[in-house]
Amino acid sequence: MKKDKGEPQFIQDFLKPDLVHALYLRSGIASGSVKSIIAPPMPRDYFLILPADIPGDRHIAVFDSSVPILASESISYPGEPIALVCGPDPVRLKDILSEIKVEYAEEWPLFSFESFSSDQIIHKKLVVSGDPESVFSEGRRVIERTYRCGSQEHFYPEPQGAFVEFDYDKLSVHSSTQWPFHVRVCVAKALAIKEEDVVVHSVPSGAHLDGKLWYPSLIAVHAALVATASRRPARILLTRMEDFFYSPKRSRSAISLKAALGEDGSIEALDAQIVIDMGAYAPLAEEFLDRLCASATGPYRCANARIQGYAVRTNTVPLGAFAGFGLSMLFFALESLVSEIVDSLEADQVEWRSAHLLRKGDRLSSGQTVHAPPPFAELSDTVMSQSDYRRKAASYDLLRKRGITRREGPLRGIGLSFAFQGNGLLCSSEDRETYAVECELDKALMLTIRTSAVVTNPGTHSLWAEIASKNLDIPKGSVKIISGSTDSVPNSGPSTLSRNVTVVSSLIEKCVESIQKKRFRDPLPISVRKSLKMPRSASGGAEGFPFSSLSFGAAVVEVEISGDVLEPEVTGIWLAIDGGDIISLQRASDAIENGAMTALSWASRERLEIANGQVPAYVYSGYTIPGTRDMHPVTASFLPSGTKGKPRGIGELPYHLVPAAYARAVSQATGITVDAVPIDIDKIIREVGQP
Amino acid sequence: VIIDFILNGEDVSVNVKAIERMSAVLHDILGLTSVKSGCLSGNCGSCLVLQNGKLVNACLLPAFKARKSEIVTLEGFKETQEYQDILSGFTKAGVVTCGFCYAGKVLSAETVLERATDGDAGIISEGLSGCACRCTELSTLIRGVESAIERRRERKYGAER
Repeated sequence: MKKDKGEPQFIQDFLKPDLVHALYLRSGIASGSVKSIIAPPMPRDYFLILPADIPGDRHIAVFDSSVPILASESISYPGEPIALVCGPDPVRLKDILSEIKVEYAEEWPLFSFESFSSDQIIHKKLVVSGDPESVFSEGRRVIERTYRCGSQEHFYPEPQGAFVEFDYDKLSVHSSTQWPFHVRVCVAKALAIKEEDVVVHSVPSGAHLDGKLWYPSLIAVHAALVATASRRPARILLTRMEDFFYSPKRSRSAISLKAALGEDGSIEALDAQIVIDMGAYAPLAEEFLDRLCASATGPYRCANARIQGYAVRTNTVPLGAFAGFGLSMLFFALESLVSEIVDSLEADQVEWRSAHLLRKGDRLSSGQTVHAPPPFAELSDTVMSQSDYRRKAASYDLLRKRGITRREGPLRGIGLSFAFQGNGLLCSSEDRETYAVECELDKALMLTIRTSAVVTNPGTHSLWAEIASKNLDIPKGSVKIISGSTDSVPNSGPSTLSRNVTVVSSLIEKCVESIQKKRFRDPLPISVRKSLKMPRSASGGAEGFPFSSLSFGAAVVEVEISGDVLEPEVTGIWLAIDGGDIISLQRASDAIENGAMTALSWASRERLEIANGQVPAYVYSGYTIPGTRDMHPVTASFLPSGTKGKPRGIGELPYHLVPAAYARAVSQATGITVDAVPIDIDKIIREVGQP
Repeated sequence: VIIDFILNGEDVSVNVKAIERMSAVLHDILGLTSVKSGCLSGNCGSCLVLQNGKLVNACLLPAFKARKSEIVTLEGFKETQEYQDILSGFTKAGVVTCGFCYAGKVLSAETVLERATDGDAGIISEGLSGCACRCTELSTLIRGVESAIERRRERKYGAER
């Protein structure tokens, strides 16, 4: 019989005869504490792990937050792990689990995030530029609205899990994580052992979409506790359903925007209140607020702004990043407001935007100056001509004005949006750590790059090889990238979409430049390590310069509603992207098209309802992600390479662009004001009639 | 119960619970790691295998229903010329997967290749719809299958057809 002879690839492939499994005893309440756990007599080789059994730290540190390894004294969301039930047979574990009785001291849970109390605030920020108060007091024309964004499931290929075994005197941890060194430090601290005694091996995560940033560290700690308690290999692997209900999801938001218009129709002042539901523990709250407040005026000029940001804790499953840190929610809100402003002025959507988009020397709401001229004109021309936007927008406006109903013909709409992606370091305190990359050029002129960066897009490896090849004048095939285990690579920090392309690429470039300087002076092999430490003063947060570079994009989305199908059908998506040099057009196009599909799905159909702190059971069976039957034509274009400088991150741009353009298209087709994503199909039914 | 079946061309006999999922039997007991357990509800396609030539979700196939049948997993399919057609098509189109549902994509593609010999877009998109995955760019996957169809046609009938 043919079997794969290679090493196990995924967590579920780690099969050992003496493997110990663990199931979670999860909290049945959203808030409170455990009074007692009454377990049946445990069969031989079966045991419980409780918080008191943790030899070291009982919390893992994630950015500025602290997450309990097993909650007991303070339960923060329904389904939170409170104990581990361990043993060799998973079926028997289920039986034991069903017999365990837990007594709780329940407290009043906090589920609402839009109307929040002061003790729910994890982080808040206020950024003021210019004098917005004076502008608003001048009696200008004001347009205001609150925009809401729902959650979304990452739906990465393998659910969260970890496998841990002893490898001589080391603890070998296999984790599907974006941040192997975070796993290492968490495991070491929880077990009260040295970090050097823990070796973390990365397991492929597939398209993690930032869903495997910190949570894998928690699971790895649990698996490590089981392994050390049993002195046997241990594996924890969530089922898809368990992962769906209890792992982190995309944050929810309510963004209230109020714009005071100048006489020329410009946004003279903007008042923004951004409220983000971070669920329990809010590990990324500061990062979210920094980015959101730094970008709140979006790609538009606005000299006077007052931005208030609140990251709010609720007794909900942890919520956080999804292909970025919240900017997709902001850009949906801002672009939707801009469309409404332009409508109210009876102006042209393209002309207004062209007149007010950022130019060289303008400032973001953080005060960061835009040094390079943003290529909005080229981006706009590209998507306008490819989509035939102007003609279609004019025609669909006329159809709408003539009151064409769904019965008389298809309702059509087209929308556009502009956005940027802020690249570079995460601004929060964790980035004050030192992150590094090592490169070695050997006697055979082979370059080895060592980094802990976890790569999901093969285009990133291609990019790194290209950087090395260009600088050292060696073939790309002579570049080897090692990103294996924590004992063989330096800590390159958390791997997020833009970070690998910008931060890690930059470190690689510095390494190979340094090698190039030395190579004709020093004997080979030459090894260079370059690290990057964010000085405290340079970590600008919401004020200052949080982004090392900006990428820009424009999008057009067209929809049609016809016949008895009231769900808007997308007939075209066009994106134009400026991400600097593009090494592989094919890979870049794939990334953009894939992102566009996921972003559209968030805006249209992936309704991840959250009620009483959790995803209701019925949501699971109806929750689907786009497949080949749901494909829409996506055209991705890139501004010419070679003239725009170093590669910049582009992976988040579809998420920033597509929802707003789609919402505008639906709005034009139906006449409804879209102020929330996913779009409420009931609202469309009310407006355009029953099927 | 004892379950006898043909697996990748060989007689196999396993002693398992009758209602054990075949995905677990194949992966955990028989060590065929291409068969992954994903959603356990037949939606994600990570556990797809061919049973008597038909694509089935092994997670929904109880062991007793595998009795006397022929099952082919990616491990067995990789030995065939048919796999080379698909590999060639995927490579040419630049299909990238993390590997988790690679078997599902390949075996789905094979059933499509059998039916969409003229590259019928409807059959291709329908045939690949059993794989729920955010990793692989879908239009690239479709191009990969189209390319594999081309290669299969050339191999079977020569380039002149």
